[in-house]
Amino acid sequence: MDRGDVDEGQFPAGLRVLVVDDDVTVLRVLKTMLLQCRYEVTTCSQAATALSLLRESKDTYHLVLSDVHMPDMDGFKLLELVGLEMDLPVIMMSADARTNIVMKGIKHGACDYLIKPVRMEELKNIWQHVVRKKWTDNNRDLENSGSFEEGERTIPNNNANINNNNNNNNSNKRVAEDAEYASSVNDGAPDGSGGWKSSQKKKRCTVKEEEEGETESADPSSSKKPRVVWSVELHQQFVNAVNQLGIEKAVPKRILELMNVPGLTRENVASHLQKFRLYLKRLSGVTQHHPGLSNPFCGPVSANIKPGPLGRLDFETLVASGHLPPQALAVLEEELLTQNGSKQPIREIAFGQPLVKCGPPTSLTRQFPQSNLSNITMNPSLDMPPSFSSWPSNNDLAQIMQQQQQQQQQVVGSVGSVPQPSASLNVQPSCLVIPSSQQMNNFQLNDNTILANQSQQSQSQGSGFQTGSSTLVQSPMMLPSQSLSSLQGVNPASQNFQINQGSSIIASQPSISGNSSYTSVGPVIDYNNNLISTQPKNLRFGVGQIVDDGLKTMTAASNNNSFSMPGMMSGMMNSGVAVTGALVSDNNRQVRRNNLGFVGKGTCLPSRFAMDEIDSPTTLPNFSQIGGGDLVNPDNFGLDGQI
Amino acid sequence: MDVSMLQRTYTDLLTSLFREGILNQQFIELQQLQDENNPGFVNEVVSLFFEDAGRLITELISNFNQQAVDYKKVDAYVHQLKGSSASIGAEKIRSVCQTFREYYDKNDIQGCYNCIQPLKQEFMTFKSKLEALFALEQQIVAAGGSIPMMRH
Repeated sequence: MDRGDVDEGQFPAGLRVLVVDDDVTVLRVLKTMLLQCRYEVTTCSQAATALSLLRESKDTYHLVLSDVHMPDMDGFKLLELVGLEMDLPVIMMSADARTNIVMKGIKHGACDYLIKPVRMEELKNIWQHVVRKKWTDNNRDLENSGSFEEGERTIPNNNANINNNNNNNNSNKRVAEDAEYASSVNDGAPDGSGGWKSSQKKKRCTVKEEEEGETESADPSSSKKPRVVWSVELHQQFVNAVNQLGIEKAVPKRILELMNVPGLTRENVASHLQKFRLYLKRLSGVTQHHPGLSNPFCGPVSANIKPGPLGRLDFETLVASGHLPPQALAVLEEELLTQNGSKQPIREIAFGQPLVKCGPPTSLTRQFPQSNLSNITMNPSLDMPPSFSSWPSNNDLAQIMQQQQQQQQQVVGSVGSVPQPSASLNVQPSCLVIPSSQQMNNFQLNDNTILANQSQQSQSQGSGFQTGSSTLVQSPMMLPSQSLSSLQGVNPASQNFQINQGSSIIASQPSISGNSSYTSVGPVIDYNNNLISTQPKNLRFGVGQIVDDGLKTMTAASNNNSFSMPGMMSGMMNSGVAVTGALVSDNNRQVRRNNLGFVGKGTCLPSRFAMDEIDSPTTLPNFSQIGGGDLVNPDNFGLDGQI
Repeated sequence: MDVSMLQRTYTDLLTSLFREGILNQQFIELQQLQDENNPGFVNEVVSLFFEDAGRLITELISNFNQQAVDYKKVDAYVHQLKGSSASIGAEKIRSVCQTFREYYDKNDIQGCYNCIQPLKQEFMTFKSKLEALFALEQQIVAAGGSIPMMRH
């Protein structure tokens, strides 16, 4: 069904759901039910297939419904991957109603956990998760790039969250704005633009206000800072700075100083740091226990062991790539040894990584101070309401809680102690913040990809539901010239930079690897410095013929920005606009697959880390691959063929 | 048989299936999903289940017959069976699976073992009853009648 056909007044119809379950009976039932809900449904019986579908075209689906127990991959792992790579809401399903398993799902980031048999009423509500997530993410990003100072000032009064919506007047206002739009969506919109489209519009509007610095914004007190694009290079510098400082001492101000990137503000760094920490926390799984604490979430001991032989390798890679200080590895290794030798209950882990026990507070442990920087509450494994008194080791629990709070306060204190005026550097709106070493090549690709995105965006505006990521792109086709000038300002000598010409752009494999960045495979950066996902539109399973529309649009628009489509396609890594005719070569395709692109928000971290083997070792962890024969992508999160 | 008799037989059978706990509410949900756009949906899904579950049970039993039983594997099968039976409303099968898993969680091997035969039995019963039900449906339709719907 063509997106343009989606009736806006029929919200939430048109929601695109990907269902993953190895049980064909269940798949059939769910599919029928979802179709009854007027959603668009794609089913697959293998997690690996699902992942490849998602990776190929990130914006195709709004939501993933996944079984917990699958033979080719643990559902929780899939959950984590989808959350990190595509940042889509994932709902878990299982016949297993045990609280510990459900809890595990929530901890791993599931939006919801449905117990089989799944009923129609439950499925009718799943759209809420999509909408909620988009709004939440949008708000969070706005606040991140908005006035951080206000948030900071309130820190001493609230040691729970630094970057806390509630503490920030600006964010409250913004939330209220969004809420207004929200109600219009819910009502099916009096203006007739209810449904997925209008929620996209809203977000675009909100972002637009911020970008263009218009005074009509309802929030005059917030400064309009341009969004920062965390390119690979930039992120690399960030990570280097963090490592240099040591994760504990890595405060935004110091990081900023070390990075020495013109135009980057401390706030940008701070929000990026927050996400980075989140990412690290997830990486380590739910492993931060005091040694004496038996994991209340463990079911039968045997059930949850996931001793990845790769785990060690992963961490080594991390260290080698400079993302883990060597002492952290030492700690991990030591704990691993202890772990293996001990009879302590095994922890559940997300990936095939070694279980990291909490010894006495180590530097590694300290790397993951919890909710001080995020709205997520504490260490997920400790995220228990105190009422669960039947758990063993309450004392240990208390100790950990305390320890966590101390850490929180430490970090809180440290952040609070570096109030910064916003950077006085002049950063133009819609200008890419480029570290001086940045090569042109990378951005060319992105520009072109962006163009593609733009056109896609304009096309899809009329066509219903889109994930939040793509909606952040709002620039009209004219923008290229704008950023062209700004980019050219940076590196006029670039030869490959061709926007307004018909020639193809890139794809230089060679240049890509030479640059040791993965932007070639890369995340799409739009003109508003929003990192957006790549194009969704490479569709399968007949969920739409956007491909063709996109093609038309792009052709139509190409009078302005006459980039050659086919050429661009071949050059475009990670391109969802890899439209029929212009299919990327196998080589590119492979590369593209490896790119764990980027969904959504300007400073969304996770995809950054999902670098692939093409990149230099200095990029983020490349967890080595595993067997799992039909895994599409030897991927970064240590995809495990085993359960 | 005339149509109304067929229909009565059908209704009686269906009612008894619910009464005996062989079917549950989920089955009705499935029936409600069946419409002119989706005729034969229930039949399709249940047939899928027959195949799938049949295979699972066979695997399960063969695993159990081995010298060294891999309970974890068996449990995985049972878990899957539980999920699919739950999804189509095969209540008794689901229930036995549940019992099995409870025993498994307690490492009660004897308890687990005691579930295997009932599991197979319930499956056979379910299959034959549902096949009878579908046969009746066909006859009713062939005789020009419509299939009575359960209202719960």
